[in-house]
Amino acid sequence: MELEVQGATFAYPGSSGPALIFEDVSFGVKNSEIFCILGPNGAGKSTLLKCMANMLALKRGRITYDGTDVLAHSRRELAKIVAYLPQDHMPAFPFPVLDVVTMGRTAHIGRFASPRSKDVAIALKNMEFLRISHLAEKRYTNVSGGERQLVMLAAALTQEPAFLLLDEPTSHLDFGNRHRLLNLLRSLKNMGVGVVMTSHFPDHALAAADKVAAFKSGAIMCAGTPEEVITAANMSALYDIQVDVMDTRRGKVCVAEGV
Amino acid sequence: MAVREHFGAAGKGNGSRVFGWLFFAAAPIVCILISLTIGQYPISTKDIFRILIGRALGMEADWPALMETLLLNVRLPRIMASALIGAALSASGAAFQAIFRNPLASPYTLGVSNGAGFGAAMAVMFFGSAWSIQILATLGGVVSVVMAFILSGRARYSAIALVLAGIIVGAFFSSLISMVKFIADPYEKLPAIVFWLMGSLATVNLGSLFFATPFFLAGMVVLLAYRWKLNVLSMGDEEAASFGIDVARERVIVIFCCTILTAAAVSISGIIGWVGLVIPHLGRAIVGPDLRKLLPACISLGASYLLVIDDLCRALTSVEIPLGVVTAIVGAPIFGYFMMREKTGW
Repeated sequence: MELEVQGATFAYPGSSGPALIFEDVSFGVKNSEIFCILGPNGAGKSTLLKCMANMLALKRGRITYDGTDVLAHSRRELAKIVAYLPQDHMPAFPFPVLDVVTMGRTAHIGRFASPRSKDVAIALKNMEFLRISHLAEKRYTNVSGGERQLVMLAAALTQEPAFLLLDEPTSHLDFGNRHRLLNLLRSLKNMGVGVVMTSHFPDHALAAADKVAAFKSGAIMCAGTPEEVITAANMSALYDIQVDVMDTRRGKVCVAEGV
Repeated sequence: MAVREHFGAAGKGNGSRVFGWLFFAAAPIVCILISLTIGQYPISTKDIFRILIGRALGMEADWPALMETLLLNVRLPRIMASALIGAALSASGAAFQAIFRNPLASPYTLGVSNGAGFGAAMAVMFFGSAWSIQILATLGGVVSVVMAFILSGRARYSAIALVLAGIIVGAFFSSLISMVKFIADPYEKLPAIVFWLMGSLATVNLGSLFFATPFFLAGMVVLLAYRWKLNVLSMGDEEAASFGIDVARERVIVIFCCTILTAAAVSISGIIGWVGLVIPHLGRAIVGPDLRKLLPACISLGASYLLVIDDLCRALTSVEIPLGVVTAIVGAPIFGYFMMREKTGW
């Protein structure tokens, strides 16, 4: 399955004319790839992800999954193809974590049905995959921000989608969990789940991504393999700060200049 | 709370869960039976069973005719209405709190009560019959929610915009009610309007019960069918959409059901506050936030609560106290208690 973004343009309507967020963005992702979008704050990364999940509608251009426009799918059909994970989630009610993860099955069960034991089993399997089985009985309102991120990721996996759209999936995770998560994403792509993620850390793209796009001022500055994109010159231009890319025993890392 | 133990962690055995549900099933039935015995004319529990079972089986009457009339035509309709209204307000309160992700939401959040109040006030002014009050109150309730929808306009995909629109519509109708009260004849019409706004079940008869029951059943059946979707909707708009729910459409359906439940309740009883706000909190404290359990629990607790409150209204003093007054006098301390006690969030 292939995800294609063609000439995507988005603008928020405003009283003083539309505010352009990004313009004429094109790329493709297969469901055997990890695609990482890098870029400074306000570059339009999250908005692009929302358009890909049909939370927002493009002004021009189109986004297709296997040739079918994202707008042509019902929510229910789309949820079986794509799972979208927002940056933050503020829970309102203290559901047990297992119930939250099981909500990922909603698109797969009958319109007026409740999840059955086989749906709960899929939820439990994904919690085990993310190593959060111990949270199952805890209240979702009482777990930490990082745990909540993993819970919502488990719910997204429980949708059994072909593509995961992750908005900064590592933002609340500790150092160890970040790298565990990146490894898990690599095993997911080998299982046929394509990943589109945004990140603030070029190192994460180096560690996990197959393709990287550097996003600046609403356009793709450069795209390609991590080695092609994450160079000292590109990263310095992207973040407006002097960046060196260094080789280490465990791969390349980015180091910013001291101020 | 003892019952709470039976719904706590999922590790509990089936036996205690069965006990919990038996409690919820039995509570309204027991309350109905007790309520039937309460009143100025004494009817014993034994007589109640004799008449109910005797009538059901078509047996010959060996009890006073007055007793039967009183039981079947006066007390029973009022008590059934009380149970249904309590259940309807509580269930729609629980559903509203879920879809608005807000523990402060109540069935009246979108302005139903003020719209219905204005409809009823107009009916008192221009027609005066019980039927006209019921029909105009229902209409007023529905119109206020439709207005809230239109007002929220393009932002209707956001729950907050809808709540804000509901507050605006509610304030508008509330002023209109004041205007009607101001110009109403102070000896007949004004007291009628004021008493209606305080809520009472004193005027309920078989006719009003038949009018409202189809709305209650239809609304309740759809809400129960939506029990899982309500859970998902309570996670937030983007999350629910990502899980595969057409949020805008499903929210309209839920709001429509809650509106007909609430409008039907208000149309026969006037404005009864607090039930739709407090009972969902009480229910959540006992069974947790899962609507699969919370909706049935609210139906049971709401029915029982309003039965008990209406019994107090009827029995405490020789003059009947307005129901809407007592629900708040009893409900506010309960709400306060749970607010002080609950530390785990709503």
